[in-house]
Amino acid sequence: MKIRILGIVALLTVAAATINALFVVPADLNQGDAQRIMYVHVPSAWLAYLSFGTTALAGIGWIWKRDRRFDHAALAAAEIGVMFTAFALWGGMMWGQPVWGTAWQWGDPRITTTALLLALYLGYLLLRRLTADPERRATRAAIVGLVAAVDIPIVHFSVEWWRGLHQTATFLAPDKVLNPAAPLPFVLTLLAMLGSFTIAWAYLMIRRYQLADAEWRGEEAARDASLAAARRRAVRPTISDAPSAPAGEVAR
Amino acid sequence: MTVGAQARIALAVARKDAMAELRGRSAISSTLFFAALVLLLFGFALGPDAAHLAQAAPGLLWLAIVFAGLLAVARLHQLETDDGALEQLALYPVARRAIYLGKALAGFGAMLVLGALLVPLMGLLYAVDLLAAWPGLVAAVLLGTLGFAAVGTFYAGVTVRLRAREVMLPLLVLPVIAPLLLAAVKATSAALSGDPFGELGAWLQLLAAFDIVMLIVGAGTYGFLLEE
Amino acid sequence: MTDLPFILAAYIVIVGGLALYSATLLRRLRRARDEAAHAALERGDESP
Repeated sequence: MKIRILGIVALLTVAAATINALFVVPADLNQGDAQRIMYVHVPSAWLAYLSFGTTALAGIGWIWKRDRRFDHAALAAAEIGVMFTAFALWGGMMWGQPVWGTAWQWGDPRITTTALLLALYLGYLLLRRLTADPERRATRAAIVGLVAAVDIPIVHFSVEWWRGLHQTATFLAPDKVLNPAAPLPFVLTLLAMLGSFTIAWAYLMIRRYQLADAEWRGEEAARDASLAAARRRAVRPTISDAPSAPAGEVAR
Repeated sequence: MTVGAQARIALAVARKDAMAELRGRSAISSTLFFAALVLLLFGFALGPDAAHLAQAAPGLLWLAIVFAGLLAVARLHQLETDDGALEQLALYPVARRAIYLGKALAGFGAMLVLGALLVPLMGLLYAVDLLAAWPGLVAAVLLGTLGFAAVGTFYAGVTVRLRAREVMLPLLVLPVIAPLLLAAVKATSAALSGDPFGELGAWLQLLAAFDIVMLIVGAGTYGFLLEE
Repeated sequence: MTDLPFILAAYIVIVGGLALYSATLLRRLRRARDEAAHAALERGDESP
């Protein structure tokens, strides 16, 4: 019930912040209306990084405690993070086309890092999908998520060097909205978007976690049911005196 | 376990892998053949303008190394899972990180053979002058292939039991080695052009940092894969 | 207003995608819970 209230709050605040960003706040003097894209691009990028940080930490938690709840959280964060990464990439391209004159700027560390982020975590989700055994899946995913998280700063750093060492930076205007000297309405609009998107993220995280939990219980119950059926079929003709294994244990 | 004992174990694992690799001689020569073919086909794709090719040569060289390297590190694990030897290896009462380092070392060796073939071939096919550039070139190849072996060995361990491993290994490795590819190509082209901007050292440092980070992460986590 | 198509494309995909994902997620959750309950029932009936 409380979660539903969180969902309604997320819906209302995202709607209000979107209307404000599109129709209420004035256009930027230099970049014009294209600046409005930043109000959805920046929150998406922030939540992508928050998600993948969560995935890495939850993975460490799984390896440490072997508690399946950590694995559910890692999966939830990875899936939601992939979505926000795609949003950030899309928003960045839609902003770059009118402002830079090109949707893709190879020398920009943010856009290239985001693209690799998407590839890294799509691979993570695919690996999870291909591993049937839940414990193996959790362990493999945890360490792959960890390596991906370690790799991201190196990617960002190397692209920054790429630009810095080779060509001089001429095309990058500093982010107007992230600039502390930006006018107050712009800052407040961005903060409202960041806040409302983060509420939505929290709501989706809880729901995705619940989905992972339900799927896990479903998998386990189905496995136990088929195991029990098989055992009964095998055991019934003779009177078994050996104690049967508890239902949760599956021979591996 | 002492550092010396772990190093001995790592060397023993690497020697075992190298021997298995050398005895199946057809496999290693087919990987080398594949890599040479990739270089040749890049020439068809981007030629026949020699200046154009020479400029693209470092990127083409590293792509060929990466593609053939994926095959090489996959097979180092594949040989062992096919006959269940990896499970036995995991049963030995030795530090897991020594097993990882040994396998990475074997992968590094295979990658070096690959580099030793591909670099001269690049010089021939793309008309690149190698002699003047050799110290930087050797350093770039050493550091680049070491990093690739570190990452590739790790992910080969992750994917070796999957049915879809042939496609999953490149899918997982390629995004991770993107910074390595970037730095290795930059270092190679800096070395080949006589380093006019003085950036060779910086790229080699980045490569070395990547190698160290990935070797540490791989050594720290590979054991969890063997526990499965 | 030459930027308008880009702004629309960005907002429709991002805000719309968020809504679409949320709706799909709720539907998946409902179905997974149904299936889990069903499977649990089956296990309860058939266990020895």
